[in-house]
Amino acid sequence: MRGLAVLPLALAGCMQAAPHAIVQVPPGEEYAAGAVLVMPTTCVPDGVDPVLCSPAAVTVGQPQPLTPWPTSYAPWIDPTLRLKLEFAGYTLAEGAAMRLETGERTDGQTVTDGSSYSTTTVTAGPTVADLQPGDVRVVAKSLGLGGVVTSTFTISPAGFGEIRADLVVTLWDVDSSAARWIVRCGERMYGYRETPLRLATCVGNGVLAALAPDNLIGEAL
Amino acid sequence: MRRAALLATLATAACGVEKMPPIVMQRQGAAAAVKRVAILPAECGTTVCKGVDALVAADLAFRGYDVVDLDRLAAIERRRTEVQVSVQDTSGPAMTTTSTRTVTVTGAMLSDVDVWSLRAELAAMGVDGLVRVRTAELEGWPERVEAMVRVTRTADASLVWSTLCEIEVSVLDLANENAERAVRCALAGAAR
Repeated sequence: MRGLAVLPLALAGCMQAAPHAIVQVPPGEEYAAGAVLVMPTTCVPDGVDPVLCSPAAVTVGQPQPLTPWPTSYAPWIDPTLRLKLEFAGYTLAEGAAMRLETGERTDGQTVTDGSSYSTTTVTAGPTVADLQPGDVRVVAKSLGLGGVVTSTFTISPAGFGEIRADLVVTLWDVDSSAARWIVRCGERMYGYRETPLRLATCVGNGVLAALAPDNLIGEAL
Repeated sequence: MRRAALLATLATAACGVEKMPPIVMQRQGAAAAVKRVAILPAECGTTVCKGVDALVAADLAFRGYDVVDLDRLAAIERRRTEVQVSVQDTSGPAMTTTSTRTVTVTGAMLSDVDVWSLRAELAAMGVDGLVRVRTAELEGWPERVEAMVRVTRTADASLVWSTLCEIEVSVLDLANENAERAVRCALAGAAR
């Protein structure tokens, strides 16, 4: 009977502890809000197989999940991170949604004896996310955006055949190119989907705790 | 017998565990209101994202905002080509007619233009507010989904109002259903 009581405790002990955020924020309100450009999360393989940077590639040959995994970690990290950044007070211009050239749209409709079908195609073009960092700053400046937020997901060895992941989010000043604040979270890779989601929440909560603590839901750090 | 009954009761109770109530937060910005708003297209171009954008557009229109739909306004004069083809077949015992009409409309809508042109067009149309809708899955147990609707002033990016809702969801629920529920919850909590 006592074994039954110990078992859940032992299982609970196996759960990975929530990651903690390391926040470097200078005092003052100068960079606590405003319109900034946000870039998609990039993955850096630091001493590990670059394939690990593509969730879709690491599951090749395994049973596929109901929703196919993306080719980068950005679709898992960016929604949570951006939601938290905006609730912290920033207005975000999304680099990958900002076209540098006007696209060409063609809407077509064909009707044959009562039945019809329609199609829409829009030519893809370069976006701000495709530019080099120097050019990104020029674009941000031309749009009156005061900063650029970058997000880097680094995968590195953690010993004993394990790997760890670190998410570092930085706000860069457009004029001086200096980092205005940095928030970092890391943990052993718990799962290819779980860890990016946990780290995004951790970094987002770190930003909220530092810049807008009243907007934080749940645990701070 | 008593133990079996106890276990059955526990199992039934576990099935009926109630979810946490939603957590809703609202923020009000400067007092000056905005009238004409555009919903910014998000990087996420999935059907789910477009669906929740449409949901918010309808709600804001109901509240009296003048919502500009960037997907429905032409950025330039668009070119329309219409081709009508009729084929009459008289080779058989009875004459048959087949008709095909193809309409092609070419040209950019406002959602397709470059960022500088979009900015100029929004200013020319008198759009004084921008709306952003976001949803995100939160990792943890139980699983949660968060949604936020945020309205900012075009001129200085200052906050007009924002509302956020975090709901507990089941692992069996579909992602699009969760996103829609969270957005509806956020809208319900938004200041009138």
